[in-house]
Amino acid sequence: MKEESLLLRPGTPDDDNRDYLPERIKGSDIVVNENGNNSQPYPARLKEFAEALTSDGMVDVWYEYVPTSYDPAKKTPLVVSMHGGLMTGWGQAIYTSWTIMAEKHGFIVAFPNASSKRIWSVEWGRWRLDDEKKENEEAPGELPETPADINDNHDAQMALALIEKMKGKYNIDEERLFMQGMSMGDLMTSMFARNYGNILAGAAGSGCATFLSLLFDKDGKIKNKAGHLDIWQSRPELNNIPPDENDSLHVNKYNRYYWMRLNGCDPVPEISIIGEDNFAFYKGKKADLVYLDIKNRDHGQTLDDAALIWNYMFSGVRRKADGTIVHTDSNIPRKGDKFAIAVAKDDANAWLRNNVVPMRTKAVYWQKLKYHGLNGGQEVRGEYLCVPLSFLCEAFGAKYEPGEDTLTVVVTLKDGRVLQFARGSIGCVIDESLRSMYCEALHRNGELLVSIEWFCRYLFGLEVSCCDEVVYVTDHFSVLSANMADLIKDLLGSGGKLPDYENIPEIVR
Amino acid sequence: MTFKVNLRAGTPDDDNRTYLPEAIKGNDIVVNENGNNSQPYPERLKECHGVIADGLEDTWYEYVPASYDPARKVPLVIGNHGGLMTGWGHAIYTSWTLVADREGFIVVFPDAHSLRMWAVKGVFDNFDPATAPDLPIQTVPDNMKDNHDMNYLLGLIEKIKEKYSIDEGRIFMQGMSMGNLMTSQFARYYGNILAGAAGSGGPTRPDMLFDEDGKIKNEAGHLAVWQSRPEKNGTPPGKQYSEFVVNKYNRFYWMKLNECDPIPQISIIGEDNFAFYHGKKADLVYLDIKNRDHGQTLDEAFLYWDYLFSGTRREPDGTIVHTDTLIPRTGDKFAIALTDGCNKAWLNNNIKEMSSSAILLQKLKYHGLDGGQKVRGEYLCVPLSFLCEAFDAKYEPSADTLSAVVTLKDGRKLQFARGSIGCVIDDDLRSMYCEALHRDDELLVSAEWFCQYLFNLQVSVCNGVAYITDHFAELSTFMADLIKDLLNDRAFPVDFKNIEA
Repeated sequence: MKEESLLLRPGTPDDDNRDYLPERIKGSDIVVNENGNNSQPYPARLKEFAEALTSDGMVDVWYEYVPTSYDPAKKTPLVVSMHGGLMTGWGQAIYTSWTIMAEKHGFIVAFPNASSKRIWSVEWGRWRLDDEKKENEEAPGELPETPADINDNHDAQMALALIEKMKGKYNIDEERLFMQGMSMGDLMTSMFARNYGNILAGAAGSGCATFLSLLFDKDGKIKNKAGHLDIWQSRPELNNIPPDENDSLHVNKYNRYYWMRLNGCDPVPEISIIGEDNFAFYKGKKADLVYLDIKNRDHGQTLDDAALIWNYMFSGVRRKADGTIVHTDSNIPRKGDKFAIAVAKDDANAWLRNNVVPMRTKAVYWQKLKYHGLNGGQEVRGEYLCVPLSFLCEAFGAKYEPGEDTLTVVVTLKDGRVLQFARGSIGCVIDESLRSMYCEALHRNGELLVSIEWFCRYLFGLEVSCCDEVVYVTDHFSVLSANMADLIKDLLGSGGKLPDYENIPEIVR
Repeated sequence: MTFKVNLRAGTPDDDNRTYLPEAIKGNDIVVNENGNNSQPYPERLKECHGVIADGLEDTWYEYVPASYDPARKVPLVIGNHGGLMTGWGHAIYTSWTLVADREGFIVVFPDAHSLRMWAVKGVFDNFDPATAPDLPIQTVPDNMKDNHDMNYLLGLIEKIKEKYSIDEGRIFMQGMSMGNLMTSQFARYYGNILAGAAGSGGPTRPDMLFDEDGKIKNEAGHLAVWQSRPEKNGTPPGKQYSEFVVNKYNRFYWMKLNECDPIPQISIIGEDNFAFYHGKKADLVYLDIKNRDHGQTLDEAFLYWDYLFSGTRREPDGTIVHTDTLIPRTGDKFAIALTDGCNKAWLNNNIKEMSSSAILLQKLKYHGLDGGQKVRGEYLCVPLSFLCEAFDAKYEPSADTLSAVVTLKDGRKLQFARGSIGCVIDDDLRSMYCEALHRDDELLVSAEWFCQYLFNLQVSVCNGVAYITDHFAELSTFMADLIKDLLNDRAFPVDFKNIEA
């Protein structure tokens, strides 16, 4: 049966493990689970190779996964997957689902080892360009020296040579070469993409945005040698790189801007939040970008990251010989949530069905207090975003009838329910009965405002998720994450125009 | 457009920090504190004075709806204010007057005779004035016949019956905080003249309900009862029992008197956590309100009426008759509840045995923490076989039981494997919250993830209990405690001799 082609194998859990990459896993069915790093049993078809791939004579090690269905007569896509620092090719194979996806979708994966100390020879730089720091960030531990010239960088040249090796060994579809990496492997993939991305159809990375000093020069111009490319950026919410949360949001944003500019993306994405996966799908004139923020995941890559990358993006991407990126239907369409609302504290714009729309007055962040019996003190019992009823009526296609003094409002929902609200009352009359909302209705600028959380949950059974003073509402399980909340704040802040984005000059070739 | 229920706009006084700002009386000022939210002073609320009992003058407030017609008997509700409050305060902090407008019944809000404190037995027995120096101490006579507030309430009901056309089978009493204690005291002594009693935020101390031998102390018998217990209510000064014990034994008291089935129907709608108990003699509703502080929610009067009082009457022979209420007292049609370490689950208002106990799995972050670890999530993992039963799915474990294929009713095919965070869904892979466990030859997965991701259900977790249903629902602390008791064979005690402190 078709369904049986994708099969998860049971592993033997080692729950006491605290090592980053326990060596005893190699070749065994031991599995380890840490938040953001969850392994699968060692794939039986994963083969180790060692050979001098480059002209410098250094012997490199890599792992190949060739699916059972491989047919030399058919052109087959290739994914090169780069491990994190202190990891290995085989480690990257078990901590991802690339081999599972390869088996299902019939592509080949190569997992190379970094040539020295399990550390990729990547460039180091500064996280931000707008702070006082002049020196590059200090690398954790001793790193191999990274040559200034990419032509002298063994790891970069090895990756190029490995692709050539695979092309020689198998019937690889040259239009469908992909690279992906995690952590330092993300940095490595980024470096490769900026220098040699023109040979790839797509690049993906998880858990480590690139130092901004490597992406932009001091004038804010983009530094790049290889042009546009389909890009997937996975950013676990608890990634902690760089460790300061504001720095992290800033660096993630400008990494996104970098590829948005290169790919000619529309600044307004389609947004879809499914479970803990927060997707922003950007459509570009030259290539597309997917930004994935994963709720409550630590530094690493989720086991399903490869499945998401393939099914949402790489399954429908190829680069033609003339360099153009062509998109066909991917296994899952890159569509935003059909019904979704997002609002942010103090912002008069809202996100509604993948568009930025104005509200009549800004959202008010309201704290519900307990103060009785606290000797003058108070405790916050709840925080809610109160938005104009006129906007909620627009979002839900409801009839909005404010009283003449605007202090009361009657709302008729599409299903016929009639609601009443009044200034200062926590009550909402629903068809001649009364229910308490989370907090009372506020009156601001001639508008009645009510908690969007209560309105959407109680009246419509919708999913409401709150993060960093942003609320996301949709009709399915979804948990808003910090990077996505930041992205939404930016979108709403100036009506769909992104801060600083226009200041990044487009690359003219 | 005309409405039976008209919500009037108020003028908010957000700077208010007093318990009952006197400035509100007679005007449209409204205050909002968590659990105490007022409405503008009702125009039809009339202040009344008179000597009703014991030769003492008392004050009360009457609300007679515009629709009142002396030719037709109407129900009567007595609303008892909290300590340091007043009858008019109780009128604006409840929605009784709004329900009265809709239903045409009469509400009376009496003032406690003195100190704005009701004469309730036992309240100040273990009271240390240092814990609440502003609280006036009310002296309470030993003999209930000498208790003026009790005599006053009895007399007030008689007075209202004489003044208006009252349906004697439909007299209800309700109270908040000390008014809840007063209502409870009245119900234990004179409840036989009422059809139903309700209270919020003021459960009675167990030693007032049971004697040293565990016998019930009661003079008036069964009664339809509603108990509202705000989650953040807290216990009054001088507490002797935990809040859990107090709430539980108050429930047991009326369950025993009303001869209730120990297994309720449970419904959680928004922040309202209902347990509906059906009794041979009368019913009981237990309502735990999520995230509400001591007080009463503005909508409580509507809840009492719509769910209970609208279909409750006491016949002349003393029997309580329940007819259809405006909203039926039925549990959530689809609901699952689970608790850590327990092999029983709540499923659609029944208790079901699972093949293995639920396990609370902690998802850890430990990389780069120098041997330390952080808990990033806690999930209740339950046997897939149970989830398949709950969702009517086909369950096919492998011969070694280390992996399982599940076919959902809509045709989706899933696969799980020991130690893997992955769930195969129709040839695609998704990460669950945590990996599948293997215990007692069963694969266990996070019930939260399974229900949220695969069915878009609402999952709410509180104090080690997960409640899952198909609509907005927030599990609250005392309902979680009730569910734990249900799943651990503690639905009702053998006797009331040893009540834990």
